[in-house]
Amino acid sequence: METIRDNIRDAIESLLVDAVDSAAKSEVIDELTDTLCAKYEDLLAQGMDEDSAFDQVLSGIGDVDELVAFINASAAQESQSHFDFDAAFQGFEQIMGQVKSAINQAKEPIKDAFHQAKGPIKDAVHQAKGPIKDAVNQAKGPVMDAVHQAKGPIKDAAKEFTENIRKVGHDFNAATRSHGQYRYDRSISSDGIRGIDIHTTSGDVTVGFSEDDNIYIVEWTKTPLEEDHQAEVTVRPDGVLCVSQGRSAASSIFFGWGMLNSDLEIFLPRKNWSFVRVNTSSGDIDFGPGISLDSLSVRTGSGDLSCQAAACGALTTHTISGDVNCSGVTGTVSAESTSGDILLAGTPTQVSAKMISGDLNLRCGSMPQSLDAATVSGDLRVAIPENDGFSIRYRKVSGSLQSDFNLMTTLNSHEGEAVYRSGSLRPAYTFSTTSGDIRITRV
Amino acid sequence: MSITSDTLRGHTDAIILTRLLAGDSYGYAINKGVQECTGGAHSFKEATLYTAFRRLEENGLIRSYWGDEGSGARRRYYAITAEGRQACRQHVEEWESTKHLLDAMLSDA
Repeated sequence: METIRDNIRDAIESLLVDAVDSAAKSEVIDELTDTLCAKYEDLLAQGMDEDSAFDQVLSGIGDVDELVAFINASAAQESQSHFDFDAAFQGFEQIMGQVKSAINQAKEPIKDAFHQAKGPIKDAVHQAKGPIKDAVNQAKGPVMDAVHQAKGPIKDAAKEFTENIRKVGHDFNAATRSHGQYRYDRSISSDGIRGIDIHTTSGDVTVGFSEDDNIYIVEWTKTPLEEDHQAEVTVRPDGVLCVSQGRSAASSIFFGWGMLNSDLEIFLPRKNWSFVRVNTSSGDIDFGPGISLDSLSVRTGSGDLSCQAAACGALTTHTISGDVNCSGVTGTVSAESTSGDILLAGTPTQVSAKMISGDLNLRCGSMPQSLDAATVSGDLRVAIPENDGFSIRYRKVSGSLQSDFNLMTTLNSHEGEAVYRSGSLRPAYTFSTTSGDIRITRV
Repeated sequence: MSITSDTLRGHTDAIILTRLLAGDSYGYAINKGVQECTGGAHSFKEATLYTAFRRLEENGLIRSYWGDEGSGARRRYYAITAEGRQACRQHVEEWESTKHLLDAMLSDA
């Protein structure tokens, strides 16, 4: 039997060859050896021959990659916490002091009680029984109180202790708990990264600023995530950082069916980003105010997009029921939505907006070179500054056309052209709606 | 991978916690319990099981200690913590509601 135990142990060791030697590793090996030997013996008892039993036991172990990663993570933590052990114990000593004094305080009443009981014992052994019992009973109260008092501080101290251990170690994949949620932290240098690609299925995406040159990715969840389901962060050779929810094929099922849900926070250094692309099914997308981008492309189903950019060169949005609220647009805008509303502000050069039941609300600081807005049942509201002239081509059925500008048009016509000043030589805009109103106002 | 094995995989932690509700146990016994209660239809790969133990312990849902088996073998026992009981309860509740949702969505109108 000794030899088969050795053989099993050797096989496990060679499976775990990628794990660094550590206390964690030898514990795993001990434990697996015990388990597999028990399994091996069971199989023999069931009448299986030795070779088949050995093969079956080993093939049942499965994929050890995650286990190896775990061993390596705890090995890193082991060495880290040894390195700064004093820091980990900070606070612990102080609280242990408090616990000690609580125990000392409790000691005195016990001592006194025994002291009181001593006399009666000497006087009459039989009679002493009662007072001893009483004394012990009397003492019990203070002891229980002291233990009760100490429980809190001991618990807190232990908590702080593990927290300190966690702080000195730096295991990025392990979850920390905060505000009742689990968070997974990742960071990466922004050197050479020009664009960000974000893919999520279920959960919100928030983009903010980091205080240094690193990109920080924080994933929040209500239940702990297996490593398989944590967000995947990769850098493509062309300088694109890809962040996608869940690493495995199984993840997409879990997130897609709503069994798992995680929100992503991404903190970018303050610089001009070549592009950010976000693709999500149901989450809201929020950009912190002041981001500067050459291009932003967002595709979402029911989530809302909110972006108060300092500058956003080209904006492309595709939403179904989500609303778009984007300011700081400076270039070409292409926005499509089914029932969501589109609210845009800035100095866009070219605007194309297509909706079914959504409204368009566009506020321009300067005259766009082109503007093409179409909706079925929504309203089209456009505010533009005073200018030398423009013309519009419109099509409407039951809605009205109103304007602050003195438009030369055929009254109550469903379709036609309207001109402001020498509009024929100026930008021509097109508006189309079936039941909505068209309103062109002065900024 | 089939839906079944993927779904089961997502509940690994809760299954282990549930096994430990009855009392402290060790890896092989836990897995054997899973195999028995499913009529032999399911058991965990050892790697999956032991990774889950580590993760659960790190999250404070279980704790472990080495038992003395006398024969020189070391056996590691696991015990569920109060936090683990709570997490287990919560998971079962969430699963119940997920199950209802799926039943509602996957059953004929």
